[in-house]
Amino acid sequence: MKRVLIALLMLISGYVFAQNNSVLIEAESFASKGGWVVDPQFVEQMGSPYLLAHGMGKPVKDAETNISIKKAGKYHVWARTKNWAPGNWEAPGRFYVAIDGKKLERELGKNPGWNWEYAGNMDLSKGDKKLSLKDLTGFEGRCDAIYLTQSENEKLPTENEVLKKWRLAQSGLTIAPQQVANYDLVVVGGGIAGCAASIAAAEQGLKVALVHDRPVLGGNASGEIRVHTLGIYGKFERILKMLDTEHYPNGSADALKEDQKRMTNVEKYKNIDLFLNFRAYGANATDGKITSVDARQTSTGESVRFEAPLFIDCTGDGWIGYWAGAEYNYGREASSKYNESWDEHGLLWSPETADNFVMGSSVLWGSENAGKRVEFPEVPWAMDVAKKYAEKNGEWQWEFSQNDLSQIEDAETIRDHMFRAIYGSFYNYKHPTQDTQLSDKAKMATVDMSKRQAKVDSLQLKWVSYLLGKRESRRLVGDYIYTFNDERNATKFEDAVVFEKREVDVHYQVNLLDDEKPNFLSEAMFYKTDQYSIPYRCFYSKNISNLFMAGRDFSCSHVGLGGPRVMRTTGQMGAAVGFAASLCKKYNVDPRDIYLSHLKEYLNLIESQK
Amino acid sequence: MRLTGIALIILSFSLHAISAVSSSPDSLKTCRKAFLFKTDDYAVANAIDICRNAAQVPVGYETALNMAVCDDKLCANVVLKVCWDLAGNYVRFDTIAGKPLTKFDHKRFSDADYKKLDQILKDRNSMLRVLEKSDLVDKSIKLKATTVDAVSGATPATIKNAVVEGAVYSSHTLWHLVNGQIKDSIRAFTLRNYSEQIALQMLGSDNFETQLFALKQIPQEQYESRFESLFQVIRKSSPLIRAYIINRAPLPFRDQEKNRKLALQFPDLDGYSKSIFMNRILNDSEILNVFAPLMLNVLNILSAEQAKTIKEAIRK
Repeated sequence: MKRVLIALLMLISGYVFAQNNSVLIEAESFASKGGWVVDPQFVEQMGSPYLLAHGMGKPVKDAETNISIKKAGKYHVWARTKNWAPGNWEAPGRFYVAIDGKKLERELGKNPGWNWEYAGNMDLSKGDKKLSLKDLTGFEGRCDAIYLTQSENEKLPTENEVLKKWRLAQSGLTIAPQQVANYDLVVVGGGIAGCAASIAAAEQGLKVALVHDRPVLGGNASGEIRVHTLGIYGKFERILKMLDTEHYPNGSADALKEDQKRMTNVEKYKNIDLFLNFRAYGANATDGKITSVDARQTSTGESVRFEAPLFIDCTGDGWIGYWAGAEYNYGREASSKYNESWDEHGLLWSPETADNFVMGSSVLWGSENAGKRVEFPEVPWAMDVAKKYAEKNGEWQWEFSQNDLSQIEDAETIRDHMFRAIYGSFYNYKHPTQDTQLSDKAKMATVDMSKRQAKVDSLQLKWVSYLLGKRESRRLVGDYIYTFNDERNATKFEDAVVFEKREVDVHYQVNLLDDEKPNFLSEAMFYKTDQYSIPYRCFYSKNISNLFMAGRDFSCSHVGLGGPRVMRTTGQMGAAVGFAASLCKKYNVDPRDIYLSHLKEYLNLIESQK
Repeated sequence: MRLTGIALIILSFSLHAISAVSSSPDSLKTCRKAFLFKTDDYAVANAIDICRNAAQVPVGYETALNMAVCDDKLCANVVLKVCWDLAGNYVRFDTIAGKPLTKFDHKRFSDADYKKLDQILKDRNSMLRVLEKSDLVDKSIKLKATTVDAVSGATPATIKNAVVEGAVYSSHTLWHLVNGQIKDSIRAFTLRNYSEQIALQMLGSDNFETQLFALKQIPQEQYESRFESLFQVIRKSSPLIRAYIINRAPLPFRDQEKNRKLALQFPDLDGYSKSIFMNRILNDSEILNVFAPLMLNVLNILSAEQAKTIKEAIRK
């Protein structure tokens, strides 16, 4: 494998675009991020990766970069930022901008919704200056871009499309990428499915680009999200053992070791080019066929066009299919649509009328004993969400979904809701009252507050993910839509390539049955099955002729997703399409043709993988 | 010697029965045999009684159980009175005087064990649903019983929360009995004897499944004539039930006062019900024409964002 590093001046000096009397700096391009982290999860909604002060309540170290002032004079400084929990309290994520160590006058992070905030003005001489972001709270302050202008009354763009064009104009970039790369196969998304797909195809001799928007592979299983892998290996034990995890508790730091294992194993393959920190932003298709996918480096802004005859959408959210015009489904089907009702759980299992109350996203977290008294600040902005709930760690049940929130379009709102749930619940745990005691008793544990106090005093947050662990989003439509009935009836398919025996397990929010309960917790319902199998026809698009999909965006219904949505199963999907891609290349055909004309050879190839 | 000890303890317990629920709200109820329930799983036939309150309105079912639960003869039979509501949802159990529940090695249930068992039986999502009896004990770990010359498996760590420790078979057997096929039999009996009194009793339940059972018996065309009772259900029930009624109601009602009353309730609804209500308004011009003026102008009860969405729908 070749780790692709393209050295650009931008990498060193930051993603700085200077015009005569103005300078735009993309925050994610800061040369030194300090304690801030690059968050590229919501680019499609708010326009850009941004820097996040993810300090779990402790202010993070400054992010710094150099800028070049071409013309001396008075500059007005703006920051594109957001108060992520607006209300009748001080904004949680506040910060300053400083130039050469001198703070600008206004605290930032106070405006509800992404927008430009005025930081202040400063007289600047010509030459290089050090620009810093100085976090004040450690509670998820965020900065998308900094803009310095000599114009006093400049009206900065706010509407997304206008802003996008303005950014490009400021930077002198074009929407089309500067570089073009050619491959046999482009895999977008480096979760377990994407990794398995890349390995399977590479083993068969394909030249593969694996494009992933994070610095580590694994997606929900990575050390950044920390969900353990579940399910069986099916026909792909050898490949999946290179990628999966032990069955440690969700949120465990053991996930970090598995990241190393996964990276080492993927790096063995010389014909996989790994584009880490590249987030796809478009798929170009004509006549129902994708010609290329464009991706941008999440810090430098550098873009690459990936051309190939075949593409695999392992993005989870089905972005490649969506951009290319693939048919997709989102939401819960009416139970009558595919006859998926289960009387045991009735409306909780599947609704009578279709809705958008899909399974939610999780943010895992945990605390540790610091061995000494540790303070945790008041978090008034969190209490509307956490209410009286008290907890010291969060497993998969920490999940949020709402009928009127999209797991894709409202993902930042969902993540921020979980931040409030976590910080508020942890505060309650550290500062127990009669009410919070009741929360603990509800879990059948008798709490002796006097004995607990010392332990609680020394608790500190150890790790809180800032990445959403999504369960369900777009489901691209294939030649076959997999449903609950295929699981409960163990439908036999001539083209079965993925196998699972895990219970069908769908979730609902606990406050559906009692609105006094937290709205950020879920429960699971389990339908026990015999082993079931998934046909190959679920893994390529019905109407985009050269697009495969593997992972949670495969062709299924909401309830159908309930069984095979775990990561050994999605890994099987990846491996299955990786091998299919190799036959597509061999015969110069589309994915559907493998089912129509080469099924026997394909199944033999899969069978030989054990 | 051991037997004498147990006998003494039984004597001291025989003075009162233990109930999983501290107060008995239906002390005036009378029960009589409703039907016989038999399942191959447990090789027992039980007479299921239907119980009525003082006003002779059916309120639920009960039965006296006496069943073996252990494979290894280390625990006594489970002897209990179990109660269900009219939709077959488990309500509670009472022990029979002199017949306390016991755990591994004949240890008596503590108060906490009784409470935990009650919570387990109420947990419809319990992982016991998908577990076989063979999953319940880790045979690799053997516990030595002090009173009998035998051993029993330990409880695997992963299922400890789903069972009363030391009484895994009792937990499993009881869960499957009280949440199993008997539910269907109870529901069938209730339906055969369905009446307006039973409908009202079930609608007023605090169990969402029981409410749903009753709601599903109401044809949509009766929603308007039954508006008052359904409106009370909306006010007092869980988001799931509220949303179900709002989704099913034949809106707009012919009686404008009913529309007004429903609209007025909007601010007090939970997020889910609000979203269902909004979707109905936005997706049906007839509903929009009635509710938009009410909500925007007359009652002024919408958030700025909701008002904006509705105004946009009107423009379209």
